Amino acid sequence: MPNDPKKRRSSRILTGNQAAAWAAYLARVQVVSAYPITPQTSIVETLAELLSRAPWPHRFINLESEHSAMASCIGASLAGARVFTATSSQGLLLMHELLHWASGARLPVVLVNVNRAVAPGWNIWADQQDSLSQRDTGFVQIYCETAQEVLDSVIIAYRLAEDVQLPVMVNLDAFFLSHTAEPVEIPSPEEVEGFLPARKPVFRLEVERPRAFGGLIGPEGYQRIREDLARAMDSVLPRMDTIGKGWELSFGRSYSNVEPYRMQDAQLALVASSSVAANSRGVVDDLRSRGVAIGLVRIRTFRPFPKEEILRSLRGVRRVAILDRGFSWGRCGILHQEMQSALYGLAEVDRPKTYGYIIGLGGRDATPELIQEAVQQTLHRENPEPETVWLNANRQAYEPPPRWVSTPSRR
Amino acid sequence: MPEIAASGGAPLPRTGLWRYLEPYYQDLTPPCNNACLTGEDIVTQIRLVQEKRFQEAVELLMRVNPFPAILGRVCPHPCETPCNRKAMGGAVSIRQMERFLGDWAINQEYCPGIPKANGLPVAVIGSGPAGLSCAFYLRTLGHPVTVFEKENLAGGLLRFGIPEFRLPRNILEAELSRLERMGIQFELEKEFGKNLTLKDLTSSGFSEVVFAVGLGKSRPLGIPGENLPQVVDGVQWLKGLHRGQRPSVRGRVAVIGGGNTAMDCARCLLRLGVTPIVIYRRSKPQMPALPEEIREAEEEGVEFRFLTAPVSMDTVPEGGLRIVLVRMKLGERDSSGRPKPIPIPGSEEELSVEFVFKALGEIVEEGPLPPKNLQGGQVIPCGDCAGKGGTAAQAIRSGREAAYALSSRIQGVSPAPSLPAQARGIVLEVAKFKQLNASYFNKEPRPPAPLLSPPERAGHFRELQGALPESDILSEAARCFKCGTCNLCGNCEIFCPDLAIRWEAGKGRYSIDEDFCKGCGVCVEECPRAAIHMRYADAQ
Repeated sequence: MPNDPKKRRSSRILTGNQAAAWAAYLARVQVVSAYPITPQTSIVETLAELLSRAPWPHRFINLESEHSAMASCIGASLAGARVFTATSSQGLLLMHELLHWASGARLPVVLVNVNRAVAPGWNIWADQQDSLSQRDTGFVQIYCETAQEVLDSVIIAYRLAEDVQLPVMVNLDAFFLSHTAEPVEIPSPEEVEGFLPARKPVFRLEVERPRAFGGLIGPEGYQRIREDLARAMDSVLPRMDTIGKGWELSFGRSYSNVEPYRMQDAQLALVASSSVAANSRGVVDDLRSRGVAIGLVRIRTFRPFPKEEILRSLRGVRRVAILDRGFSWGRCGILHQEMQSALYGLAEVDRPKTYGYIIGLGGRDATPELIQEAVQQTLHRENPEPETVWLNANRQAYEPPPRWVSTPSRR
Repeated sequence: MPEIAASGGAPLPRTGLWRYLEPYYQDLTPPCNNACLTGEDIVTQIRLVQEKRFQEAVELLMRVNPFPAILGRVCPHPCETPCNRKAMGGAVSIRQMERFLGDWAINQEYCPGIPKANGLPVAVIGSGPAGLSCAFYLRTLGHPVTVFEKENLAGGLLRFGIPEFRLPRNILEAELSRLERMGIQFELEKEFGKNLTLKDLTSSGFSEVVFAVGLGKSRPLGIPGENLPQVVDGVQWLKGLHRGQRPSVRGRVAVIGGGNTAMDCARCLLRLGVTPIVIYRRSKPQMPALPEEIREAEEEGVEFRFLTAPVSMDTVPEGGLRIVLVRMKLGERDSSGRPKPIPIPGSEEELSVEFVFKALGEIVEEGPLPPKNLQGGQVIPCGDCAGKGGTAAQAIRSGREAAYALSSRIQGVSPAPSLPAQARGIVLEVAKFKQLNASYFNKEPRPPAPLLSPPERAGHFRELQGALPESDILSEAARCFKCGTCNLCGNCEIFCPDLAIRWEAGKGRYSIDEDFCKGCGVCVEECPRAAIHMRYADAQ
C-alpha cells in the first residue's frame, strides 16, 4: 500500500445509484433505513453489500414504508448516528410529513432521491415532480448531472448537513443517471475521513438524561425556532461554496450552487438542471458555432435558491428559456416560477423576459431537437405568450383499443 | 446549537396514564397438547428437546406417559392433525419425537425417582397398557405394587394384540424391565376368578385392587355356520401368533370386520403368505381402525370389500367354506353416530374361501369384576373394562387417572398439581394459526420418516417404520411454532416503543411496566406465537 492516500484512489465503472451507495459507504454511515422502490432499490442493495464488510458498527433497518424509514432515520440521527436513506417518487411523497420533521428537529439526515414521475398514471421514469413538490420542507436540495457528481455530492452533503444542522436531499434523474454507468473516481477512505470526520452531534438523545424532543412549544418559541431554521438555510449557500472549495483542493473537482456555461456576452440563456442541463450544453455549443449569443445556467442547488448567483450569471441577458421537468398546477413550471421571483427585484429595463417550457415529463427524452425548438420559440416570440409551452406534447386523437371495436358475430 | 423544541431533562412522561387497553402474558393451550390422548405437555417437551435437555424432556413426558417408546410407535397421533405447522411445510413429527425420547430413555436405562414404599400395597389385575400405567404411577406415588396377569407373559394387548411390525417386542421388553427395576412385582398365570380371588388378595395383605382386565371376549358374528372349524377367532389367533405359534392357514381367507383386529389379522396373514379379503359392512370412512393401519394395509395389497356383510357360511365338499354375502347401503345415523348399514334385498352373492376370520373386536367379558372392593368401597376399574380404552394411549391415561384417584383417596393428599395442565383436564383457549404471526416463520418441509416400502414388508414381521435421526428430531423441534407458549424469544421487549417490557432475571420472565405501557399493542402484534393478549385496562 502506498503511503499517499491519494494513490489509494480507485476508478470504477459505476451507475449513479452505485455511486450514491459508494458515497454513503465512504461517509461511514451507521444507520441505513429504507424501503425499496424502483428506481432507487439498487442504491440500498449496493450499500448493503458494501456495508457487509464495514468494520464500524452499523445497522440496516427494514421497514414497511418510507414514512417509517424516515421516522427511524430521525430517531437514529437524534441518537447521534450518521444516517442514510434513499427513495423515489411515491416513496418521497409518503415521507412528506417527516421531511418537515427532520428539518424542524434540525437533524443532518442525508436522503438520496432518484427523480421519478408521480402517479397516476403509473410511471417509473425520470421527472422532477417528486422532489420539487418537497420544495418547502426545509431540506437542502441538490440536483446532480453525472455519477461522479452523485458520489461527490453525497459526501459533501454529510459535511454540509452536519455543519448547518439541516437535512440534505441529493437528487439524480431516474435511469438517465441512476442506471447509466460511467467511469467514477472513488476517493480513498482515509481522504474522505480527513474531509468528513465522525459526526459530533451538538444535541442528542441520552438514556441517562431523558428529554422529550419535538414536543409542544408555545407561539413565541415556535416562531423563534422557525426563524432559526430560515437563518440556517440562509447560511447554506456560502457554506456550500466553502465546502466545495475544500473539496476541489482535495479532489480536483469543483462544484458550485449555480454553474454558468458560455454565458460570456450571452443574450439568451437556457436555465435547466440535471440531465436536461447536460443535453442543453450540446445545444449551446451547436448554436454558438452558428453565431447565436446563447449560454446555459445550470441550477445545482435548488433549495436554498441561489438567487444572487443566478442574477450575476444572467447579467446582460435579454431572454431566458427555462426548461422544466416539474409543474405547479394552476401556475407554471416550478423552476420557471422560481426564476420569475428571483428576477422580480431587478429594474424593468434590466429584467430579462422569462419563457417557460415543459420538457421530458415521465421519462420522455429531452432531446437536443426539443431544446433547439425551445430556443427557436424564445428567439421568435417577442413576448412570452403563452407563458408555458408544452414541448412536443404530441397529442393524438383518441383511438379506442381494438377489443372495444365491435366485430361481426361469428355466427 | 440550533434552536429546537426539547424538554430540559424532565422526568420521563408516564405514558402508561394514556392506556385504556393493556397487554398481558397468558399462554394458550397449543393444539397438540389439547389433542393429546394421554395429556402430555407436548410443546414444553419439544422446547426441552430443542435445547437437547433430553433427560428433563423424558421426566416431563413420563409424568403422564410411562411408555414413550411404545406410544411413540403405535399412538394414532391426533396431536399432529391440528398442528398449526401443517400450513407451512407439514405438521411437526410429534410421534417421532416421542419415540426418540422413549428410545433415548431405554438406551440410557432411565428410571424415574421412586419414593420409599409407604405400606399401602395395591394389587393391579391385568398387565395391559392400563394396568401397567396404573402400576407405574402407583409406584411413583409410593405404593408397593403387584401386577397379576393371567397369561404367562406380561403386556396384555401390547403383546398379544399389536403385531410385531408395529411394536417390536424388544421395545416392549425394555419398557417392562423399567417397571421391574422400579420394584413392581409381577405374578403371572394368575387369572382373577379362576386361580386368584379377593380372599387370596386380602390374605396377601393388599388393601386395594385395581381392575384393568380389558375386554377378553370376541364379538360374535351371529350367523349360521359361526361354529364351523374353519371359522377362526381373530383375537385368539393373533394371541397364538404372538406366542410364537405359526398356524396352518393357507389360501384365500375372509376377514370379517373393519377395526384394528381385522387390519392386524389381515396384515399378519399377508405376511404368512395368505391372501386376505377384508369384508366390512360399512364403507371406508366409517372404519374404526386407525387410518394409518388402513392405509398401510392397502399399500401392502390387502383386498377390501366394503358395504358387504356375511349372511351365512357352510362347508363345501372340497374342504373350504362358501360364504353368502349381501350388499349393503348406508342409511340414517345410528347410536354410534355412523350411518347404519342396511342390506339390499336380492343382492346376495357367494364367495369361496379356505377360512373365515371373525375380527369384529371384543366385548367385555361378563363376571370378573366384583361389585365391591376389599374395604367395601367401589372397585376401581380402568382401561377397556372401564370403557376408557380404545387406544393404548387412552388406556394409559385411564390407568394413570385411576392411580392418582386411588392414591389420593387412601393417602388423603392429591398429587395431581405436579401434572401438566393438560393431564389435569385444564384447557384454555386453543391457539389458532391465524393468531400467530406467520411472518416470523419460514415454510420448512416435514422430513419423511423412514418406512419400508410395500415389497420390503413381505414375508417377515420386522418393524415397518424407522426412526428419524437425531438431527431431524432437533430440526423438527426448531420447526415447531410453540403455539400460544412464551418461549422467551424477547420480541416483545425489542418492539416495545416505550421500553416498558423488561426481562426479570430473578423470575425468568418478562414483565410489563404499567407506568410506561401506553397500550399500543405492538407487542401483541409482534409476538410470533400468541402468548401476549390485549384487554381493557380495567378488565383485570
